[in-house]
This record gives sequence, structure tokens and C-alpha cells, in this order.
Amino acid sequence: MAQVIPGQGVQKRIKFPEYDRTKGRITSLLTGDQAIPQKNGTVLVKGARLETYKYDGVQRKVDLIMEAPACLFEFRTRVASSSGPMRVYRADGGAVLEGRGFSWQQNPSLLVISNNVRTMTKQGFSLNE
Amino acid sequence: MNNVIKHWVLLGMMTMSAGVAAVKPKAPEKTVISAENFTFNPQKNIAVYQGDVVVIDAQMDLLCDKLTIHFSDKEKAPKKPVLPTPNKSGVGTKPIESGKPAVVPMVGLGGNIDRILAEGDVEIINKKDKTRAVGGHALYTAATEILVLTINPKLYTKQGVLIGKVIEYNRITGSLSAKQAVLENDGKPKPPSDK
Repeated sequence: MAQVIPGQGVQKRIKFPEYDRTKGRITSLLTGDQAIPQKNGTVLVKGARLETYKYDGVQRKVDLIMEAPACLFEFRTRVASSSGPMRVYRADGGAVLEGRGFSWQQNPSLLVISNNVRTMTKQGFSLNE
Repeated sequence: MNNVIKHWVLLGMMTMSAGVAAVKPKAPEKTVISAENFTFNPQKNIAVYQGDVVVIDAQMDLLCDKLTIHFSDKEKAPKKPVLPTPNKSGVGTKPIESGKPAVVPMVGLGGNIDRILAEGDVEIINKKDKTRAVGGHALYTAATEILVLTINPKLYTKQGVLIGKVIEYNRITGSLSAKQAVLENDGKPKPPSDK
């Protein structure tokens, strides 16, 4: 996979990791099939998938997985957003969220789904389950 | 001799596991929540649904304007209450020391819910007995399994309408209690539906 640098051309199979700098460990990873730099400094990520992680001691576990056909990623704010359809699910299959339009902010972590939210759940969304 | 015992133990275990496999596990009942929008803050362990919130659960349906779910930390998670058993006199109940939780956690969201707050035109429909409760505010606390309905709460039952300052529903015992309650029976005209 390639790491996209703003100003580059279209990149395939990209990844944007996010780290907790105090603990030096990865907290989330945005991947995509394709990244197309936009004029406003954002990157259009096609086939986007974002994973958030939780830690059990030193062991890393995938917690939430977000998928969208496309989203915009802003390097400065580290915010991924889209006005299109999206889907979030827990890695353990306990819950699935669907909606239209979302924004994921890494620090502080905040997920907003703007429209037509529908949750199907067997489990909660807590990171501490 | 030891080998013979081992063989029988192994055979017994295989038979038991085959028996277990033959019993089809009951499919888990899902809960569906729909709303206009949703916000999840993992650091604060809070999820908020807003705008025409509808919760369809196996036990009950819940409608409101805003639903806030507070999740608990694993370390701080309260123990789930267990099924009460009647005492010798048959009056009152006492909890079992150990065992499975008495009821499925409310709205089926899992065992890590701390509390759920429903606000604005709250309506709760119990699917089992078809009772309907309305109010302006409802707070469910997982540790006690008690749902407290406030702000003009009303409970519509087959017997009539229970109006009180506070209506409490204990999900373990199934008991309902109301403070400063007035029961309007069927002989009197029913108040118009809030929804």
C-alpha cells in the first residue's frame, strides 16, 4: 500500500494511519482503493474503509469498521467525511449502523451520521465491552 | 484399565457434544433503532440518536425525540440483577445470589449499557401486555433495571389510565408503581392520545 502525500497524482491502495502520539500506537486506519487529490487540499478516497482500534494491554483489536463508496479526507484536521451512503459495524458483528452522510473526527474521536440512521444491534457500541 | 476408562469418558464426551450440536440455538432477537441522525463519542462512551427516534425491540417499542445511551466502562460495569424468588411466606422477593440476569438488557443493546435517557414525547409500548406509557422524560438504569417516567407520565392499561407524578417500572419484578397516582377507569372518558 502507498501513503498519499498531498500534491501527488492519483494513488491506488492508499492508507492513512492515525496514531496516539503519547503512547505511540495506531488508533485508526483509513484505507481506500483509490485516492484523488482535490484542489482544496482534501483527498477523495474511493472504496473507503476506516478501522478503529482498541487495546487489551499491548494486544490490538479492531473495534469499529466504517465503509463508504467514497469520502473526503482532510489532512490538516484528519477528518473523513461524506454526504453519501455509509455503513458502520462492530468487528464482532454485534451491531450494524447504516446512514447517509457522515463525519469521523479522530481527535477527539467523534462519529456523526447525518441522515436516515438505522441501527441493527445485538450488542452495544462501547469500546469497553 | 485406564485406557478403557479414558475410552468411555471420551465416548461420553463425544455423545454429549453431539447432543449439544443437535439442539439448534435460538436465533438472537435483534433490536432496530432508526433516527434522523446519530452521534457517537467513544471517549465519553455516549451515543445519541436524534429526530423521530424509533426503537423496535423484542420486548417493547420506544418512540421519542432524543435517545441518549450511556455505556459503562468494563471495570465499572454494574452487575446485572438476577431473578428474584419468592420467600417462604410468599410475600416479597429476594434475589438469587448467583445466576443469569433476570431480563434481557433493555432494548437489547447488550450488557454494557449504563443508562438510557429518552426525551421529548416519549412513548413506550409493551408488546406483551399491550400497555402504553407516555411522558416527557424516561430514564432507564441498567444496574437496577428500573425505568422511571416523568413529565406528565401516563400509563394506558386495559383497566384504565394511570396518571402520576412519577411512574416506575421494574423490569425484574414486572411491578409498576406511581407516585401521587390517579386511576381513571373505563367509565370515564379516555384522554386523547398524545401521539
